[in-house]
Amino acid sequence: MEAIGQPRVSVRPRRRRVLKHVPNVIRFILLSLLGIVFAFPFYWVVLTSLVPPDHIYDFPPSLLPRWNWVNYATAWQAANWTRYFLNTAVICLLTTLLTLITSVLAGYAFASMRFRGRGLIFALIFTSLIMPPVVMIIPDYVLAHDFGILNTYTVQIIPFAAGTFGIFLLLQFFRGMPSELWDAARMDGCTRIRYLRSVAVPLSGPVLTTVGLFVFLASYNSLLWPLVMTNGYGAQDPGVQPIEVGVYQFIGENGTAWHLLSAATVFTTLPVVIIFLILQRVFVRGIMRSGLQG
Amino acid sequence: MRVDEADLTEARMDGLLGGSAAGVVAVPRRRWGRSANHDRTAYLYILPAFAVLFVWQIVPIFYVVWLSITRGTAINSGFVGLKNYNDLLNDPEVHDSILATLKFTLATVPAGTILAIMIALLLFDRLPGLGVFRTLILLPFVTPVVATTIVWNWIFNPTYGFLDSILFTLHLPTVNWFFDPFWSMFILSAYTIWHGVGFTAIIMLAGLTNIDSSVREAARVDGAGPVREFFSITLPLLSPYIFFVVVIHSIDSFKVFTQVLTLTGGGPEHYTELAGFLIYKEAFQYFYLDYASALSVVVLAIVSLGTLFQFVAGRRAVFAGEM
Repeated sequence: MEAIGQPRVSVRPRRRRVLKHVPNVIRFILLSLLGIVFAFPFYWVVLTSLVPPDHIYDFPPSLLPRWNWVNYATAWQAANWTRYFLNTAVICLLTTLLTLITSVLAGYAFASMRFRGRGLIFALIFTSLIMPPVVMIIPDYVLAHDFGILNTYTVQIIPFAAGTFGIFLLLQFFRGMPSELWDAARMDGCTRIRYLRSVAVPLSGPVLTTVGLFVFLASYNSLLWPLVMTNGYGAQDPGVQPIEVGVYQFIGENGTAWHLLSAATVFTTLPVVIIFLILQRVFVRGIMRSGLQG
Repeated sequence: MRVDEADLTEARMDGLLGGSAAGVVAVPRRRWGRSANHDRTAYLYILPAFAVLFVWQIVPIFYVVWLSITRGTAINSGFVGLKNYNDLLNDPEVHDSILATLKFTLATVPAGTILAIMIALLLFDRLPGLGVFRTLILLPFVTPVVATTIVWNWIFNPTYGFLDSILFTLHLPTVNWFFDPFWSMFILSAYTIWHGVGFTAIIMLAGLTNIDSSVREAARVDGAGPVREFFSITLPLLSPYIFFVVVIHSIDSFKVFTQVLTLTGGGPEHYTELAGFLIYKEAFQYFYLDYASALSVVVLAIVSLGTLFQFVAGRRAVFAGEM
C-alpha cells in the first residue's frame, strides 16, 4: 500500500480482478452443496433400483451403482403398468387439451369483449383459486356419486377441464396483442371465432405450451382425487386408475422391497422428468408469470 | 334472428337496471355494441370454463356446508344442525390436527421462503453451470409426491436407511425417525420444502430480475455495502413477491395431503395428522362424510380468514416497500 509508484500501478488492478472472482467462487461452492442435497434423493433411488435384491441391506450401503437391471423386470411384472400408463395418458392428454380450449375461449372473452357481469364472473373464477382441494373433495365426491360418474375417465378429466391459471395467462397474453390485428381481420369480414382460430391461437404457442405443461404435470402427479373417485381391482387390473395410484398400491403390496419400489419410482417418474428437461425454459417462464400476478 | 334475440336480452337487462341509469348509459352503449366491443357472445366463450369451475369448485363451497348440517351420506336423510360442529370442538384429534397444521406452517413457510430468497440470490448473476443448478433445484417440484416420498422413506429408514447408516458409521446413536414426533414433523416439513422451494426460488428470481438495476447502483454509489444493499433495497423491493409466496404457502399447508399419507401416515399416533389428511381419513376411511364436511368448513374458514388477514396486513407492508 505504501510502496513506491511503480508496483502500485501493476498490482492493484490484478488484485481487484482476483477479488472480483471471490464472490462467484463462494456462490459456486454454495450452489454445488445445495445441488448435491437436492439431487441426492434422485441419485439414491436410481442407485437402490440397481442393487441386487440380496444386497439391499448391505452395511454400509454402497455409494456406487452396480448396473443390475433385474429389479426393473421384477417390478414391471408385479403390476399392470401398461394399463396404468395408458390410463394416465388418456386422462392427462384429454385434461390438457380441454383446459387449453376452455382457457383460450374464456381468456379471450375477458381480454377483448365487454359484457355485463364481467367483474362478478371474474371474481367467482378467482374464488376457486383459493379453495383447497381437500375441502372440495367431499362435496365433489357426493356430486360425482349423484352424477353416476364415479370410477370413470370422465370424473378424472371434466372437473379439471378448466383452471384459473390458464385463463389468467391467456387473458394477459390476448390483452397484450395489438388491437390492429383484430381491426384488420374484422374489416375483412372475419368472425371472432375464426379470428381466434386462425390468428390469435397460432400466435399464442408459447403461452399454450406453458399452460399445457402445468396442467399436464398437475394431472400426472395427482393422487387424492383419483384415489377417492376410482377403485381398481388390484395391481393387475387397475380399471381406470392412473399411474400414481398404481405406485401407491405398489407401496402397499411391496412395503419394504426397497429395490422394487425404487425401480417402480424410476420408471413411473421418468416421463415427467424427460418432459421437464425438454420444456424447462417454458416451465421457468410459467412460474415467473404466476409470480408476477401476485 | 340472433340479433333480435340479443336486442331483446339487452332491453330486459336495461329494464332491470332501472330507468334513469339505463337511459343515460344506453345511448353510448348502443354505439359500443355496434362497434363489436360490447358482445353477448362473450357468455358463450366463458361458458365452458365457467361451467366446469362452477359445478366442481363453487357449488361445493355451499354443498359442503349443507353436507355438514345433515345426517348420513345420503341427501335428505335428516337435519342435524350444528351437532357436528359441537362434536368438532370437543374432539381432541381435531385440536391436535389444527395444532399440527400450524406447526407445519411455521416450520415450512418462513424457512422455505428464506431458503428460496437465498437460492434466488445465488442464481441471480451469471455463473458457469447455472442452468444445471436451476434444473436440480426445480426437479423435485415436477416429480410426483408419491414416488419421491418412497425415496425419503428409504433414506430415513431406521437402521438400514442411508442416514442411520452414516450415524452408525460415525458411532453416533441412530434415530428411529418416524417413531419420534419431532423428527416425523421435521421430515414432513423438510420434504415439503425440498419439493416446493424451487418454485418459490424462481418466483423470487423473477422479483430480483424486476428490480431496476439503477436503484442498486445508486445505493452502491452512496456507499452501501452488500448487506445494507440487501436489507435497504433488495428486500423491500422484493416484498410483494415475499407476500405472494407467504400467502400461497400458508394456504398450501391446509392443502397438504399426499406426503402425509405416504411419508408419515399421520404418525406417530396423530402427531403429523395435518388438517387435510384428517378430512380424508374421517371421510374416506371411516366414512363420516358429514363430520368430515364440518371439518372441511372449518378449514375453509381458516384459509379464507388467513388469506384476508395476510392480504390486509401484506398490502401495508408491500406499499411501505414501494415508497
